[in-house]
Amino acid sequence: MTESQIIRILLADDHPVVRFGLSTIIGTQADMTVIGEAATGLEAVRMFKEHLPDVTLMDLRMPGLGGAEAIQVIRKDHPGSRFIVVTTYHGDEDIYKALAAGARGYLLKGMSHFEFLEAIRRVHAGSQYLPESVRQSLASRPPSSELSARELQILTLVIRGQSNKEIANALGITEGTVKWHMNIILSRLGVEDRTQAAVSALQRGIVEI
Amino acid sequence: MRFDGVQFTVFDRSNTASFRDNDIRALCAAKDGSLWIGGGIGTLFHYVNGSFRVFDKEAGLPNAIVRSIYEDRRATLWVGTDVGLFRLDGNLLVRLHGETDSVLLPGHAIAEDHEGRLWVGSSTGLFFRDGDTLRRYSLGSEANANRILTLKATSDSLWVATLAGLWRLRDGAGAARASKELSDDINISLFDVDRDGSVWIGTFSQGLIRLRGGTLTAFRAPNVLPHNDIWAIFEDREGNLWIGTGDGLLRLSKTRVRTLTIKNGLSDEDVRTIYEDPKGPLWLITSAGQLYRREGNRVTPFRLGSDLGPIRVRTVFRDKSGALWIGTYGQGILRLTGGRLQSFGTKDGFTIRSFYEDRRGNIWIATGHGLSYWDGRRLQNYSVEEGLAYASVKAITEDQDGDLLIATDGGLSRMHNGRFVRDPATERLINESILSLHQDADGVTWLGTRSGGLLRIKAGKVSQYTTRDGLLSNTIYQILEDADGGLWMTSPSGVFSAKREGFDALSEEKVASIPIIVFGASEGVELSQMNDGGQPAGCRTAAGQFWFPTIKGAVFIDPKQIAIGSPVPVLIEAMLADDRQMPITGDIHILPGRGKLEVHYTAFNLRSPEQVTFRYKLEGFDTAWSAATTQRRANYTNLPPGQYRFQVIASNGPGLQNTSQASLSFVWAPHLYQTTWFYALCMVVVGLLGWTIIHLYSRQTKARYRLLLLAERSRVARELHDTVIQSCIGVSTLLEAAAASAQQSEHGWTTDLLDRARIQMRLALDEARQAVWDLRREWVHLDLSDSLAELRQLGAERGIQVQIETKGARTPLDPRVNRDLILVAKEALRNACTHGHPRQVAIRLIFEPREVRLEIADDGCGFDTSNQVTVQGGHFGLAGMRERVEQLGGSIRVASGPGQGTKVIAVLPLDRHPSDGIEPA
Repeated sequence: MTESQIIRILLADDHPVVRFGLSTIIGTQADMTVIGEAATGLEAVRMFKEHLPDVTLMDLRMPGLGGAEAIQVIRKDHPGSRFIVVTTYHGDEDIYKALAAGARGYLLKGMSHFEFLEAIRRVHAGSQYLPESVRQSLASRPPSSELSARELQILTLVIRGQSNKEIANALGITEGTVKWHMNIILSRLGVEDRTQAAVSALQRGIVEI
Repeated sequence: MRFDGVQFTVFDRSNTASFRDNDIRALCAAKDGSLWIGGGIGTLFHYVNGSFRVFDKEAGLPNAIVRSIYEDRRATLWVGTDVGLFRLDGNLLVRLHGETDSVLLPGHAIAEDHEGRLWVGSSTGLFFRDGDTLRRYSLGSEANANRILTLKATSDSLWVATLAGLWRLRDGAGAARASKELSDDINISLFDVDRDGSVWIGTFSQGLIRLRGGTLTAFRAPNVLPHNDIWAIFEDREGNLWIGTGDGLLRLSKTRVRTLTIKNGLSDEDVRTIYEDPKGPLWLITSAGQLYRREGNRVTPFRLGSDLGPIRVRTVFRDKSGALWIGTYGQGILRLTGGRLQSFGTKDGFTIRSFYEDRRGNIWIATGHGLSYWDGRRLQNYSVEEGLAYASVKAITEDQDGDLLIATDGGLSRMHNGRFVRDPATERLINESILSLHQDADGVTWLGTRSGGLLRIKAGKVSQYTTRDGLLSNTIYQILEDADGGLWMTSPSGVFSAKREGFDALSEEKVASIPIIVFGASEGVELSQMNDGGQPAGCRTAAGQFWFPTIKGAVFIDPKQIAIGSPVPVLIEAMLADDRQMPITGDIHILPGRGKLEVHYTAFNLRSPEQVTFRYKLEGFDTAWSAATTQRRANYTNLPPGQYRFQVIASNGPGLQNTSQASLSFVWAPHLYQTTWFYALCMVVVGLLGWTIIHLYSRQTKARYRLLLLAERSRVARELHDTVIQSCIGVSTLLEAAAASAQQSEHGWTTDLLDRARIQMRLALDEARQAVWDLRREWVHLDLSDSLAELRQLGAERGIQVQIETKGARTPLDPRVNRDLILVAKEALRNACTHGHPRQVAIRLIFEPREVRLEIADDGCGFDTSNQVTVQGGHFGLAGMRERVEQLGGSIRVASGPGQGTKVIAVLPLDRHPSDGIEPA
């Protein structure tokens, strides 16, 4: 196996045990090698630039810069770089954000090592790797469901159980404006009321708490 | 214009829409209380119940002035115009024809004589009705004698005033015996015949003439009349004669109050005391000190044969022994017994005020210097030193207990067993100037004071009555009592009487003021003439007459002659609802408003309107009668809507005598918002509103709670994720790594153990992840079959076709049941994929009435269920499931055999109804 055929992999995950496990699995494969491990998004960006890996395994939730943002930053300078998101979450918004940022694969932690290795090889080969459940989630994502920053703010406060009045006070806007935003949020999420909006936002990973 | 004794009411064009002009030529008060009005040219009005009804051309009335209106005994109405006499037939006026039809007979005066014949007089002559024809009655050939001014029928005659004298037709037209009663040279303007049969003739410039029993009496200005032109003569219901003159209205009273004056023998009309001698005459004493005896209508001076010189008499008294006591001005006392005159106290210069004989026959004398007692031989004097309240003693009386009560100018004294004693009454009356005393039949003492009103001592308790309580004056000169228990009092304002029970009624607050009868101007007594010269300042004679001294002679009133107040009809004349005049006939329905009501009523007593008292009550609002004020109207504000009856009672005279009553019923409609159903509707609306608010609030609260719960669940989920799942992921990843490494080696057993460990780990992870997922969504009633649909993906990833089928009525499931069923399905599917290598898996969800059943059947290789190792090893994931399912009261069975595929059946009971979806997580 030539050096050039070996898949050089960067691991970015804030969980050391996970990094150890993943790197062990990779280590069992002759055609793969871990060239660096990052614990944060920024570290991942720095190490990518340093090592220019073939495939980067990126966790979404990391202190500081998140995985999706890190992918975006890296892909600005390296549009051809390949990423596989390895995460605990499977909300459609997470997936969407990750794919929108440029990830080619999306793995849920706890997958079998076969699946894991398969994903790396596929992505390295230029293909996508999305498990069926992820594809389903992505397909079910309603169009035009992107919320503005203000709408996200409001939705976050709704999920915290605040009333329109409290939200208005917190954001320094009128209650009427909050209601107006809420109507837009409901229509964007395709739901009937604020409770459904909150549930939907949480399930889909639009808002994290 | 109307006058009811108190107020004038003017009806004219400005306030009465029906009036076309203000020319009123004829009036006729009908027996039913309505009024007929000749309204100028061609118009007749009927004023009934406050509204005017018009009769004009359409009713058959010609375009001529209505000159006279007359209602005959059969209540037929006759209307005289310039062009004929009309009879009211229903709503039409029918003209009577003359003997020759071409003549239009004017009807200026109409009268029905004692035989029931109708007479009509006009400038063309006198006519009487014969059927529907008018026949002429000639009063001679003289033209003026047939120019008729007025007609008046009496009980035996028809009186006819013509331009040439007054005629009397005694026996009706048939006999044709007319007598001329007044000479031609009298310019008669009009005449009237009063109830006593006196004919009163008004003239132009010749005053008023009374013709009575063939005697003519002339009243001329300036003595009686203000003017010699007489325009009107009217006798009212009470017998007063009202005379309209060229210079004002005059009222002639039938004098029931009579006087003795110079004409009757007095040399001086200033009468000061009057005393009726039980043994003889009525004594009158003038301020000059002259004593008079009254005999009939004459008084004669009484000369005292005395050597004392001229005696100025002040008061006289006859004791039971027959001696006449004479009190003088500064000349002491004279005692006349059997023609013998005795004098004593002369040297003291006593002025004698009054005498009193107590029940033991002792004579007490009130003087200007104190109280004296005649013991039969000499005078014994009591003065302030002995305890008398004040030196100037006015009157003496004796109470029930035989105590002597002494009225002075400075209080009351009580003498008990010859000694002055004090009691609450004497204390109360200190400094009160007491003018008169009266002990009534019930033993109650009445005291008249100067400016302190009337005082009553009843059972030792003193009550004071003043003008505030209805008295005519606060100065009471004399108190007398009539046979009916009425107190008669004289005052500077005149004579008045009040029933004794009136005072009790006042104390018991039954009346607002004491009803009194005033014998004032309308009775002929001049108000300011009452004299308080001394006691007795008036007396009641054995015959029941009341005599009072005045500066214009002695007046006397015979109560028997006073027919006090015949009932006067009370009339409700107007009703204003919210300042709008309402009709007062028929069904009165007042539209919703502010509830301001004003009712105007009146009663007609022209002679003594002050005697008319009113009480009114609004049934439906008032609980008690209100005594009316001098305003003849009742006002109410803020009357609630409802049904009412206004009642008013007029009493002519004191108390509740001679009453008449009128009432008016009406309905005041409520505003919409005052109706019962509106209230009911309001209640319902308020109730609904309340319910809605509560409902919305509870919904809001619930939604709020859900969000808070959501937040909490999210927090728990995150905790779970950050701890358990992360750890599991770590372990899982390590196990995967170990497995990957082991595959590289030859240790198959290691691989097997690792397989078990990592599968178990993944299972745990699945569960935990599912729990996190559930925490986020389980309050939402997810359909289980929808959740199961996700399993298709799981199968698809492994190239296995998963069929999902739901049977029975889908029932929302308890979240835990839901979750366990999904986990069972997942695990069963996973086992099938891992061990059975099936091509397809059928998942059936069956809703039974009492339970839900989940069947996962694969077409894989199956296994021997008796092989415990396989069961525990191959389907070890189900072991955990079984435990959970059994906790929920359900069961799991696994049916399989080698080559037969595997069927996992989970059954869970449905008896636990899901709650709102909110359960403690």
